[in-house]
Amino acid sequence: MNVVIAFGGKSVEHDISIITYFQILNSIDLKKYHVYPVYFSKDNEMFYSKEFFEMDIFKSQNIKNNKKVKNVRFERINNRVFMIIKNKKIEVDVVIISMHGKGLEDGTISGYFDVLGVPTTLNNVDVSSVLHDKYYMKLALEKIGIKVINYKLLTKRDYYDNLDGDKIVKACKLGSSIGIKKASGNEEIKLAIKDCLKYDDRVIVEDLLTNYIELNQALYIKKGKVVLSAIEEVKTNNELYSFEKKYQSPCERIIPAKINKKLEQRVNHLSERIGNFFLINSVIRIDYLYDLDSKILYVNEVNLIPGAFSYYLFEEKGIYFGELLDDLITSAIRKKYDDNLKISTFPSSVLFTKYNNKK
Amino acid sequence: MLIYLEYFLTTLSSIFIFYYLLLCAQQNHYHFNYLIKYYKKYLIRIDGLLYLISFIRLFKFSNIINLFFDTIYICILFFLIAKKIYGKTIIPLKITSRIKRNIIVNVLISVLTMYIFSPNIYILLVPCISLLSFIVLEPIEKLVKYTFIRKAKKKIENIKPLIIGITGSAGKTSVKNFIYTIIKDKKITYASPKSYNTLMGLCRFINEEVHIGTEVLILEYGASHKGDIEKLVRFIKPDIGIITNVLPQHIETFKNIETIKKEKEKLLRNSRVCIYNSDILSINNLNNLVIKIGKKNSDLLVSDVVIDGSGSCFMINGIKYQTSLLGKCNYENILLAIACSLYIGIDINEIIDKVKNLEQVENRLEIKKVYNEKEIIIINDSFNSNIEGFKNALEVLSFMEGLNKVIITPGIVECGKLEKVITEEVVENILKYNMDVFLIESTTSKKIAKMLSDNEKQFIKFKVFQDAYQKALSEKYDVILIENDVSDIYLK
Repeated sequence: MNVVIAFGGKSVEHDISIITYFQILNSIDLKKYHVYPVYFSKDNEMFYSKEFFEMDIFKSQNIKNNKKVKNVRFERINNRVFMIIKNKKIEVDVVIISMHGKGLEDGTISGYFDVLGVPTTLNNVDVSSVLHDKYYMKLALEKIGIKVINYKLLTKRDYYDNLDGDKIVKACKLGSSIGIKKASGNEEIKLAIKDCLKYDDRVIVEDLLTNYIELNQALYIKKGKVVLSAIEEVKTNNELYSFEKKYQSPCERIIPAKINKKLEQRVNHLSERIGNFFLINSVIRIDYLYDLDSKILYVNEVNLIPGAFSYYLFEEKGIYFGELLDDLITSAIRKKYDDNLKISTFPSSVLFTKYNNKK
Repeated sequence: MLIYLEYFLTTLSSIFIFYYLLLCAQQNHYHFNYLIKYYKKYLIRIDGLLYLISFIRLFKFSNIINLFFDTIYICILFFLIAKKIYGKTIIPLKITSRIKRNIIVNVLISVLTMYIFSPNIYILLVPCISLLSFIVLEPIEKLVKYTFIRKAKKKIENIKPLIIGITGSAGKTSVKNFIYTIIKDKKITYASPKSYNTLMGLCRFINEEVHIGTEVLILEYGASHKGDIEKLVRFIKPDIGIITNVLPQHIETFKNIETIKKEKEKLLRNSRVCIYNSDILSINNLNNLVIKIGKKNSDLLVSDVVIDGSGSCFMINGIKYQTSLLGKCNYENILLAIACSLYIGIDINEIIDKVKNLEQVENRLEIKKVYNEKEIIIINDSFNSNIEGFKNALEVLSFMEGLNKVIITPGIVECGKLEKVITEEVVENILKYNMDVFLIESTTSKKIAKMLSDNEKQFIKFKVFQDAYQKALSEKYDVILIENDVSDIYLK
């Protein structure tokens, strides 16, 4: 089976996705799958090279100019999808996407591969874009009665003033810790909003919780059923992590989280509900905030393509990364098959009748 | 000047001959033995006239007379090809890569012979050149074929799906579609498309359309010549073999019905599990797991069968199934599909549900309703080509009582030695179920017409289907049955 792993891409999390790619590469069954790494550069140009199996090439500045790196394109020919490297055609059976952040994770890359019609380890375009956008996610979750932290939406055309208290300002469409600012008092908040508007046209201003714990849980779908991972607790010391800090000096993670049975059940129940409501078909990670004072469980964020596919959370439950990837590939193929069974074209005589009449 | 014109006309006529011969070859699936047979039959016997003219041309009368003969020559060729395309078969020559290779070789040899001999002699040699090109290309074709087959074989070995092989004289496509409809939601299933039932067809289907991750593959194993099934089985061994029935079809190549049965049985002997209807067939000495379905001596016992105008209803091992598809043929095909789905392990309730909602294969006992001042039911069975299907369709019609019925048919053609018997049976059945007859001209229509008038049965003759159809619509019949091989079918 020919498996393409697509990684990199025009996103602030470009480098993180390369790390995720290497984690996948280390765990995937290379005997079972022929792996073809396809690197998306920072301006979304696609490349293939055997050198991509080693980390060294990514440390150099101009990957493009390397002679062993070749341009790649995808094409649909005769009902099948091919990866074309110069004149060589390679049939693509599945694409594993290891890309994070706005412009990719938000359904864009799903759309690209959907048009090609190749099975991918991705969620549907609509689900991805709704859940990736912090505002629409809140709207959707509120609609089905899931608690989210109090928020206010501001766009670049809105006039904002008289903002008080401790707030977190977030750009609607950026992942990770980029475009997120903590601020208190009118002036500081205004400055933070201005800053965040550089990343996106819309920002949300959220209340800042003071006494809370952060819990993460991942899930994926196996044979139509939700498989939940262990819950992790992230010790943040109530400090907001900057991008560098988050990845370079990882915060303390406790897996499984030391929480009582009741809370664990609540988290599991909520994850399963989200998984089933949005008809998730790939791996996602849901970040929760649990307010210790009011005992409310908030959904903070949903990661459509979590870093390292959250394999460390599944390992705790005895599902190793290789197995997780196997399952993702099988369900990707199954999903494409099911999609193809649905009626999507329709024989019509519009072209023949309308124009003839006009003549 | 005139000599150039002669060269031109010779080339033109040779193009006609090549086209004609390639078409014959293509329609015989390039079977070498049949190819030679075909050449003998059509070139020596029927095209004898052409040879006569060619022979006359050898004597150099004058250029003008030669040109005159050339023109006649081309006219006759043109007529022959037109007859071949529009008379018997509707399929024009498909330009495949094989045909392209053939054309190249033909052109090369032609240029060479025309250079060495005169155009007059060349035109006599054209059939030989065509045959020679097949012989020259044979090793290359073998190689191409071999790599193609190997690729498909390798792919199957990689994917390792459960393979269901279906053979039989009639109903292969129906059974295939029924199984596909029943199991497609549970398993990742691909079924070979309508016409892909030869070795190369199946290879092509596997190479191009089967995707990785396939769990079940449903293949049609067609047999129009002796040894076909064996070839196919050697290529892909089915896990489940299904045989629908054995009828005198392709009798021209098989000679008698016993050989047909023996040929088809080979599929069962080579598969892990065999499924067949014990009411229709009895097959002995099978060493593998056998699932018989039928009313007697069967593993899946069928009872309480009711077949009427609204479909059929039956019990298998005490569980009730019902379908809206008409006729005994459909009922038999559904039985096989159910047996196969049960073996694969599909939930019984799901099978019951799917069987209820089965849809008819296009052009096979397909029911359409047309409103022409009042409702007219059109039963389209035009893809059928055997007597069992014919009887079945008439039986369906007999369920619809008190309506004005008409059958539009050209009779059953290409039955070889059995033609007389089958034609008699056709007439007998038409007489049995009282209905009007619109007869379309065909090779057997004269015999049918004679037999009908012997029995004092009224009928109307038509040259083409379209006229008969329009007439039937305007005459205000309630039910119109379109039966057998009406290839110019055009229904709106």
